[in-house]
Amino acid sequence: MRINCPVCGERDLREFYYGGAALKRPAPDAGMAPWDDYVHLRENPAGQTRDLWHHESGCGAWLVVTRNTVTHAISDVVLAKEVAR
Amino acid sequence: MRLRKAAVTVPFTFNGVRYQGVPGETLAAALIANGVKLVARSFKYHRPRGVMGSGSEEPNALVTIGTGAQADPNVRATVQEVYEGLEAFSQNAWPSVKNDVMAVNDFAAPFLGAGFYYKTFMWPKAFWERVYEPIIRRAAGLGGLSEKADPDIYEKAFAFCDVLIVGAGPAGLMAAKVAAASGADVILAEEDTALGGRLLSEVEQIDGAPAIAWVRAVEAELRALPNVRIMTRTAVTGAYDQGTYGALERVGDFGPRREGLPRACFWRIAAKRTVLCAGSLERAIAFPNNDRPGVMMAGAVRAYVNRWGVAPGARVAVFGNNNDVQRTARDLEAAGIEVVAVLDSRTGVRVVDTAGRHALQSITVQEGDETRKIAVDCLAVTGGWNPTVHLTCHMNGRPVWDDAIASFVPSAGAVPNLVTAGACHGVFDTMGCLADAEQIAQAVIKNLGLKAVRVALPEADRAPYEIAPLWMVEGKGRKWIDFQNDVHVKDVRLAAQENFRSVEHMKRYTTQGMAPDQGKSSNVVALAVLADATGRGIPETGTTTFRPPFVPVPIAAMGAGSAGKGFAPERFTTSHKAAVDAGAPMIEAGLWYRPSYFPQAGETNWRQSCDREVNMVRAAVGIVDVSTLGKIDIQGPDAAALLDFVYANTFSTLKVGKVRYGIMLREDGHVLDDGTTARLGETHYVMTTTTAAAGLVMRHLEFVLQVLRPDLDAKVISVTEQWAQFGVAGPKSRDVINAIVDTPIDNDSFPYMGCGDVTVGGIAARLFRISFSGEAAYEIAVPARYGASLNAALLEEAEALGGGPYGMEALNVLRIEKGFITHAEIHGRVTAFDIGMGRMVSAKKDCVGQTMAAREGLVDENRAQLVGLKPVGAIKQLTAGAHLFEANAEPVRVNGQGYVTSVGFSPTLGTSLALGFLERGRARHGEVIRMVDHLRGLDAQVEVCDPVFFDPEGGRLRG
Amino acid sequence: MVDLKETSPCAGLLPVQIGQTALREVPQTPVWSVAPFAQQHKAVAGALKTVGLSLPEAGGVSRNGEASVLWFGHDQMLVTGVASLPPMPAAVSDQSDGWTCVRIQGQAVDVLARLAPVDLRHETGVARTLIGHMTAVIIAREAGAFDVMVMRSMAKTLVHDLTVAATGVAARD
Repeated sequence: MRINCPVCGERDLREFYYGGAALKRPAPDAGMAPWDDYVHLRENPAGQTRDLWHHESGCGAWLVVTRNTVTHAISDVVLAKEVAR
Repeated sequence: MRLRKAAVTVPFTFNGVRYQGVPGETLAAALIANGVKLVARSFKYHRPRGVMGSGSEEPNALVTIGTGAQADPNVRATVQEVYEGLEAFSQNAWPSVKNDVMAVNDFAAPFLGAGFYYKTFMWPKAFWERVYEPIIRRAAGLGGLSEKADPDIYEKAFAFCDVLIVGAGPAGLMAAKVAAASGADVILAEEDTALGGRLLSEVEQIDGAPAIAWVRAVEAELRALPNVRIMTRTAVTGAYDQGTYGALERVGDFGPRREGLPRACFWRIAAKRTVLCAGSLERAIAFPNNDRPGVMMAGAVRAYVNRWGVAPGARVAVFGNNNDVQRTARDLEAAGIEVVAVLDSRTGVRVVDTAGRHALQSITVQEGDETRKIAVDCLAVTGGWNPTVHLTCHMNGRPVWDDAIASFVPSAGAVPNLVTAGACHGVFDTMGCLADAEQIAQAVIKNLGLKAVRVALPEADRAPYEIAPLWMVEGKGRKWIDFQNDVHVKDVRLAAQENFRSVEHMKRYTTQGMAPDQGKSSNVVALAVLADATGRGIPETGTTTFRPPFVPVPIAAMGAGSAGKGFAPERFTTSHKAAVDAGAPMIEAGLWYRPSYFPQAGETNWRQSCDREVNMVRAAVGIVDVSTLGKIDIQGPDAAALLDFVYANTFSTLKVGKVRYGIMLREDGHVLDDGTTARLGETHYVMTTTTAAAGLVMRHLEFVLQVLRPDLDAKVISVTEQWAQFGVAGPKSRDVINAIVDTPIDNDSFPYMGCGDVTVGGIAARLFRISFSGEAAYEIAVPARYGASLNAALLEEAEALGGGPYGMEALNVLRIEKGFITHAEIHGRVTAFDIGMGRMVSAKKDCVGQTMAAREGLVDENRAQLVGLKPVGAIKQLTAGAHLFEANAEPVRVNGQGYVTSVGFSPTLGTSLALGFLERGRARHGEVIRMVDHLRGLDAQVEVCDPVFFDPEGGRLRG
Repeated sequence: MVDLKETSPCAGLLPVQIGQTALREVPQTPVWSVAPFAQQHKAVAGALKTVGLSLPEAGGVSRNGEASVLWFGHDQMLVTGVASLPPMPAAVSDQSDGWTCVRIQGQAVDVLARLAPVDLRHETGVARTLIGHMTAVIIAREAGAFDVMVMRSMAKTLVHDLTVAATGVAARD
């Protein structure tokens, strides 16, 4: 697997750390249900999914990667920082 | 027999017999040249087998190369090159390949059909592991492992290209020509030792000259180009995501072992585009007793005659269903070999039996109602050709049936950015291959955004491929399909009969298509027989999944560089050498190496050293290297806000020049790490993490800054390696510090939890008044280049005051005496509440883990809470991992109330001490409970107490 | 007064020559990590200009004599060869002792292809990647040479890994 880091270009999987599903953190007072979703509950789609990857052995950027769990095709990679803004 | 006189020959041995071979020819060719027909015994029935093919698809001639630890089993004799001193051995035969005792299996064959294991060895159940399996394993199988560590060197490497061309036959060479001329960065990978593919083995003309001349010319042209890398002896083994390919290069296999030379290199090739020119594999016909040594593939026979100049037989018959029958007969005759029969099944003729125990002696041929026996020593068989679709199936692609060639062809787009050309694209004549490859390479180049250069096509063989499928011939005797797994027609029919009708089920029922060859020579025939048995067509029957690797890859090659010291980096502190010189045994702490203890003369075990070091720190002063703890520099206008968000407690209120202890939570409310953070300036902090969690915390901080809180303007960077940091602990610690620093300090300038800049010999250093021992203690940090020197200076001063170095054992005892926690306690399942720090989780601000830490179940009084434990009964020994029970409870799981995490013998208090977690522990101080270690057979009475065993008021810290 | 002596990260390990490949330690120079605060890239560029340096592109290097600015990662750079930096709105940390730097010359591309999952054949700047299992900085130098930086404590493993790779390459000759 190769991920096209927006900073470094296409790099081998081994440079990256998988950071789990890309989700929005709930507000502290959002109540237990959204927090339970955020911390514990995950979709397991056959198809498109969005994950966080850390280019830990590269530029250090956290990335949001959109990929297909069936074809393994990666359709989009963006800096997590920009998504969060 | 050799057809040409060899200029040079070298000796090699096969089963201990010395032969002469031509360096570089395959072992199979050399054995054929020496008249060796019987090469192997088959997997299950121990049938005598000979060389059948001429490439990596060989199902029969598997041999072991070398002896002892370097022995390499299951090497295909058709791939192994001959060199001086090569030692090869038959497998699965005892005492010899000629007189193999287990050949008795063959007479029991009626009972050993497919599925017999599952049916026969059902009961008694207990017999499977003890009786049946060992016997079966001994009787069946391929080569054995040496069971010794492999002394050979393996390598892995990375390569990158615009266009990867897999296979250097006519199509591959033409594709490479186009891609190279267009300026693309090209890798041409060829499994064989030489470029040319089938052209090496066929008698064909290109542009009026022998085809090989064209091959040589193209090779010379490509080798002269800087943008082309030619990798021979390199089999592309698998296609993976985003254009990644695995490839195995045989490096040191083709000659005697040479110092430092790897045996093999496993390449990971990242290719923007790939042109698969893998050619095709010839298939056999399943006729009765078609497995005798001397029955060979027609294409292989031509390879031995035309390429290697050896004669597979003196009286050869040719049998097949396509026009390679005539081609083979023609080439044999041209080489002066007698062709005794040309049997083209399209005329209705069939081979219905063969004879000869250790080598083929005759075949029985049926034509109409008439059968006749023909004496032959070799039968060349061709059942047609299958495009080598394997790589196109590695990402779930399913090949599609093509009636015109009676075989499967790759489905388009099966692997992103991979296209096929030539024979593996279903084009079998040389001219067609060249034209196909030229056209496809043009398209690939354009698709890459390069300008495609047209390359003139030479004139080549245009003989059409004509085939009338013939899969099997009925008759008495076993009709072998998968020679490597001893699967014959009846097995496949039995599978269908027992309702294993799906191709995947048939494969597993019969084992057809498993083992090293992965059904390369047998798959399509097996499908045809299954299709026939189930009354379906071949297209509906479909193929099994071809999985990587295309050829066997040594695990050692995939894991190259990760054995021995390559397994993980070693991290050494600047005081490492001094510790080793002092005789300290080093232990691994993560990747770091740290001293356990520093033995002195007269000390015979570690406890004596440890006790002395603990006493030394309590009475005088000890020095310990703490550089391994993670240090993270945090700067920026929002540095304080970042710390407030990642720590459960508050750091924005910390004064400049002060240090504070903090705990970090995971978002699920459990403790992630702990440590101290110092405020060096208004917008500048330096955080300390535990040794184990340094990388984890760094990643976590980046996660917070980039993902959760990009609004915070703060920057983090690891400075762990920049600073060599030493703990100086004990009542005389300040004396040591003042002997080292240029300007003396006192309790006012550096109070407990103070920090600041100092200089040591004019070098800028940092001083922290923090303690992990409960004593008055400092940590002093200098740039790492001065670490070794500072360590020596500190030790000299400490020793003058009755102190010295202490190791991890003493450090552990010191912290247990004080109830300080490590990752033995914060092991991932405990909360701040559990360790008695619940009140540190500030409710005034949001922080990672704050919300979830407040969950009912995480602050339940009944949870196991951190306690101290002291032995009060006859058994004085405590052990980490032991379980805790009420005093009179039976020590079984349902009665478990907690567990022990850390233990040590405290010389200060003269007793063993432990830290552990106990249900409602904080409310149970003074209670006597039971500690049971089922593994070590310990059962002790212990008293529950406060985890701080020594100096609970902390007066010594501040002294 | 205590007289502190320097020890270099590769002391006792280098230089070595393996076939056509030479490994030697690059002497330690001042190294500063610089990470501009939010929206302060211009101001940082201005400050660097006063010492004759400029901001590099991602994956690039800007040099001025012995001094250079190496791209070091997402929003981060390393300034080398400058004794002290002018004040600037950035996180500045001394990293002079945090890294070990080895110059590899000779069959450098072939040797590094066995350790680093990046294409260095046409590299002219800086790559942050792996060397074996170690996070590394690889800097292209003149004449096909590279400087390879890993964390100081891993100097021995770096020399080990480079030596093994170079031995395999040399044995092919």
